[in-house]
Amino acid sequence: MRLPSCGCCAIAVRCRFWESRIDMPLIEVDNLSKTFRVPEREGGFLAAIRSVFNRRFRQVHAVRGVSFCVEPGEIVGFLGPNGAGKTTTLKMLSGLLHPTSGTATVLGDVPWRRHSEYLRRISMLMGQRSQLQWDLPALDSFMVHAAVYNIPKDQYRQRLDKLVEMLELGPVLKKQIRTLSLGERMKCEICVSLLHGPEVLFLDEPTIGVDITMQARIRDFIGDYNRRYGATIILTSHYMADVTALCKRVIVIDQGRILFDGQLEALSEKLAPFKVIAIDLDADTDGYDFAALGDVLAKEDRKVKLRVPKGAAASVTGRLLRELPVLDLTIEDPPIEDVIGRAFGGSSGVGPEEETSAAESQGGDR
Amino acid sequence: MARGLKLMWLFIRVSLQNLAAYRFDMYARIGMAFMHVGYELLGVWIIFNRTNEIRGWTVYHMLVLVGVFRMVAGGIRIIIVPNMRLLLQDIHNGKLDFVLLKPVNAQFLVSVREFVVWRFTDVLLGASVALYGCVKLTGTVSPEALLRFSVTLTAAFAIVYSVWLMLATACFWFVRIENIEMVFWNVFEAGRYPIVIYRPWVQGLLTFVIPLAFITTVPAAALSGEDSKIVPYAPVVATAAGVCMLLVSSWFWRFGLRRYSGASA
Repeated sequence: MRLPSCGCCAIAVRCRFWESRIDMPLIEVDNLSKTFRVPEREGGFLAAIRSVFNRRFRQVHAVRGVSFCVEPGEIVGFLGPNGAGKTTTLKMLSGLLHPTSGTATVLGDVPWRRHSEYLRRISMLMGQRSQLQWDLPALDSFMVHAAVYNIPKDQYRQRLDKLVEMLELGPVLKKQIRTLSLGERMKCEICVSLLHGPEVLFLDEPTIGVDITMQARIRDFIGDYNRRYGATIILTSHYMADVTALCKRVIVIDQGRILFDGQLEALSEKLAPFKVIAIDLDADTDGYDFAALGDVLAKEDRKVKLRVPKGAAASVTGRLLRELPVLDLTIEDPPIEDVIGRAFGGSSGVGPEEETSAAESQGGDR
Repeated sequence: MARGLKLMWLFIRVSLQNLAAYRFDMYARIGMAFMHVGYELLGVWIIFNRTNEIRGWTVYHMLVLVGVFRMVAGGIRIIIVPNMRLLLQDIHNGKLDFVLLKPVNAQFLVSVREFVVWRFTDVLLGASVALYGCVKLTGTVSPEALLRFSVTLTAAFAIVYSVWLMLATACFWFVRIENIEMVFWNVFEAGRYPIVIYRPWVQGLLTFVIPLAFITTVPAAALSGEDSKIVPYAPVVATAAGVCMLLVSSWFWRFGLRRYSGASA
């Protein structure tokens, strides 16, 4: 199922041979693996006692032999269920983790050497954790950040003004972080992580927990930032809408391996040999055997949705048009979360909140 | 270096701002600091009500020691303990990631992020008591004694800092070390008394294994010009001990950092 990597790696190798960095991909990951050794014990009191004297360990292969390249200015979406290895990969690329094996080069540097010059050029946002000082106004946290990154004063002013404008942060800057809503705080987190003008952004769940409107705004901002500054972005998200709206290219990871790397549109081609046919009917058709044509996904009043194998789509459409009073008919690719869900054997980690954003993304597609 | 100092100054200012958010807490605690010193002086008074000296240490020697003990304890609480506490929390909840992402030496950053500024009252109170004891004892505070005192006191902080850094680094392996602070303070308490009052083998233990002698007894003795009675060439030996500890702890920190895997996603 795994596709060979994008082909740009081969170019990169050639380029290195000429000792030139032209055309070298910005991020180059080769056979990267990370194995954690985690202590393990069964539940219960006796097991706990036993584990004190004899700790047993289990190897967890979080990432196994991942290879890919990212070109400057790309936005790449990482998709995968919980525990697929998305965050671990991002952590290695941002220098937080040493890999067990494999290599990676980002901006011509090895991330986990954690050179200051490297760290200055990247940023990592972790949606589930805050790096702002709880008791201080956002502005103070920004100031600390500027000092840590040694940003010249006028440059800081300029960037801050721009970001405040783009994120509409004006009214919250002087409030204590703990008094902000989750959405406002997230915008502040984004602002602080962009103050030093990073060229590469690792966004780990940047929209987690915020409402749909805020999600859309954060999404717009990320796209805008990418266009304006040409920043390269790798994004993981649970919300498909984030990925469909922002990323032309997706990398699907499951159990530490790359399942798919390519254009978003190709993903459904590759993983879902199905089409969804939706029809509106002019009259009731009680007793018509839709199930004989394909899987009935939805049926209410005079609207029916069918999932049919790709090859059969044309013939089924013909039959429907011939046999039924059809008002309207559309043929679509199945929603991307269905595709992913099927690829992961129904364990896509699609939560209940997912449905709303799914509806939204469908709306956007039409 | 200049940048490091600038950053430290910034963190001090931020801490002052944080302090303003919890003012009343601060007043209460400053009051407590005075009570603490009073209580310690009471302890000294009770002992020396019955005797004039303990193994060559008079009441004024003891005052110097009590003062130095307060100063060191205060200094530890100004910068070492708050930062290490924050580091332990960050290791525990995975926020250390943010520190590691910064283009600044990680050890430096985790060591200077937080200052409990009002603890400076402890240092001032301790210094007053120590100087009073010293003047009573020697009639003056000679520049030489002050120099020896400064050197040994700096070494004392280096040692305490190193011990703390190693304790905190141990959390990379054992994510939960609770009450690590209690253990530290309980051992530190022994520094309230001059090590000469302990049995010889305990003295050895407290000099070479847990270098507690260098933390309070030696600086106190240095102030009254008697440090060589405790450890020969005390300033030199203390400096060497401090530097060694700093090197070892820094190595251990870097070793731990390589093993750090972050709290899971």
